[in-house]
Amino acid sequence: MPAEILDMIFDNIDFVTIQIVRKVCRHLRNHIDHFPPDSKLVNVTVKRLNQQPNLTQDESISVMYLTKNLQKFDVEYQKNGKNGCRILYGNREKTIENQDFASVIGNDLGLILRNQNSEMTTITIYFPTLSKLRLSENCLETFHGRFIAALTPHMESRRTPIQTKQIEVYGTNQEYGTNQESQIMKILQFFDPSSLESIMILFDKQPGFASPTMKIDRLIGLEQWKQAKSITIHGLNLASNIENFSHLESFAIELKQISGEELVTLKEKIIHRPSLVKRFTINYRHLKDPSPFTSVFVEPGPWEYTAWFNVPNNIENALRIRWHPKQKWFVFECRKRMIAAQGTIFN
Amino acid sequence: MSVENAPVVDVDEAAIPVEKKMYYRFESNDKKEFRVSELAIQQSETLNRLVEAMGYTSEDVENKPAIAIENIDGKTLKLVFQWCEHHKGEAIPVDDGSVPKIVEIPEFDAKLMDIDNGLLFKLIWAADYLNIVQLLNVSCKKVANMAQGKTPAQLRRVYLLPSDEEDEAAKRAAQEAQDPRAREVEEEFEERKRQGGNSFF
Repeated sequence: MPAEILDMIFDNIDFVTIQIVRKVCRHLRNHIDHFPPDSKLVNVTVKRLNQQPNLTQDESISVMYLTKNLQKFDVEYQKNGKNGCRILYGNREKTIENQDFASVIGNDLGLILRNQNSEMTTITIYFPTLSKLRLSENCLETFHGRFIAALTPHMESRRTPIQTKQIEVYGTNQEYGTNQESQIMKILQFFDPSSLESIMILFDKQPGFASPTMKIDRLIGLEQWKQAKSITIHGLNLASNIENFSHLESFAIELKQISGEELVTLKEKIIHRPSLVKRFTINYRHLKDPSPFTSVFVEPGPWEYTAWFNVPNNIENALRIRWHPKQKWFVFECRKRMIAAQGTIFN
Repeated sequence: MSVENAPVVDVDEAAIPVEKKMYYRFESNDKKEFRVSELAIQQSETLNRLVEAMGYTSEDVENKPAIAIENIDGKTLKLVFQWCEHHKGEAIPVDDGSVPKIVEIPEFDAKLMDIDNGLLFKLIWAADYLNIVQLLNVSCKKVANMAQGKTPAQLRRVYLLPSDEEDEAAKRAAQEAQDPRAREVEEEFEERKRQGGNSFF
């Protein structure tokens, strides 16, 4: 059968069946591997499953796929014994012996993402909790290390990186936040910077505990970071200068430290940039030498202070900055001037 | 319109239609002849270009030999022309990638393609050769539907394809030409493929 006809047939087959067809014979496998039929996914979510009997939350993972024509495929992986994996898909069940659970998930996901040609909307990856041992992020003793190690060859075998508008990375690891940069970088590098608009890195915050600090020196060098329009990082305290975020349309972050001088520079950048910012939310732990910036906040509210700034050559909009000294946050937003209270001074 | 009522006819089986529409005569590689309306031919880009280039009049159609389609047998060509007659006048889909292609198989097409796999694959091949876009779409969709929900072993049985092990064994057997039993294995394998008639993969 000519290759073009095989492509047309495969174009009508969902990605799960493609994986089955791939196992039929060498000829079909070669064709699928050389001319990957589009998996036609819009969303992929790798998620921990809670409340599984006899399993911890890191031993039961669900991978959910949603296709363009709204077909949903949900595959559940359970750790089975010391070195085995139980896979549940629909009413089917399969047990694989002598194969690592995390590697099976990474390999399966890689095989499907390898064939993803069209642009996706969102990829969501929940990082399982790391073990209590202090292990390197590359270490194959972690779920992560093995998952990424199995996924990477498939992603590297692609001719072009995967296109997705948004990537969401969730985690719970509070103790070893500093290691997360490498893990997040590895994930981000799989995706096409020109397509990626929004990066969300969301870690659980434990009440009463400060967020762990994460360095982002290498992360900010990635094209994915430079070309993103929106970045949200929650539950990790960033050791970084606010300058590294000023190119974005919107961001929400927590910084270890910020100075009044940095905030003045940011404000100047915002009002002089060609496009209006949507919303910059900065939570901070320490505010250093605030006076150059905070002196403009002349309108104390009950809990928070507000200041408005003119945007040159824009009669309709202005920059509104809100500051909550007790809760330690600033919000910068370009808003309509008309919503400002009567008598507001525009600096 | 049912498959039986479609106006594609073998010349010796039915009268020439009385309407004064332009018809063309085609001949399959096993010398079966068909009369097909000009409008139906438009479904095939290849045939449409061919008849345009030939510039036949109604007299030419009658007086000159039927246009030979050497790569397609009569059984397959009959299905092709039945499909074209049923869908004559319909717009030819254009796939420019701007919208996701959703193919649905109409009842007529489903009945037409209720055939053995060998003939179905010949139909696909003919639709590709004659560039009949929508027939190719529905026939590929039919093959795709046949694969849904099956295991690799079931798919091998449906399409009569060898497993990797069988493929290897056949190759080894072919190489061991000195060994009569090896030759037998190879012949058996090839015969199985021939009998199936659908080892197009």
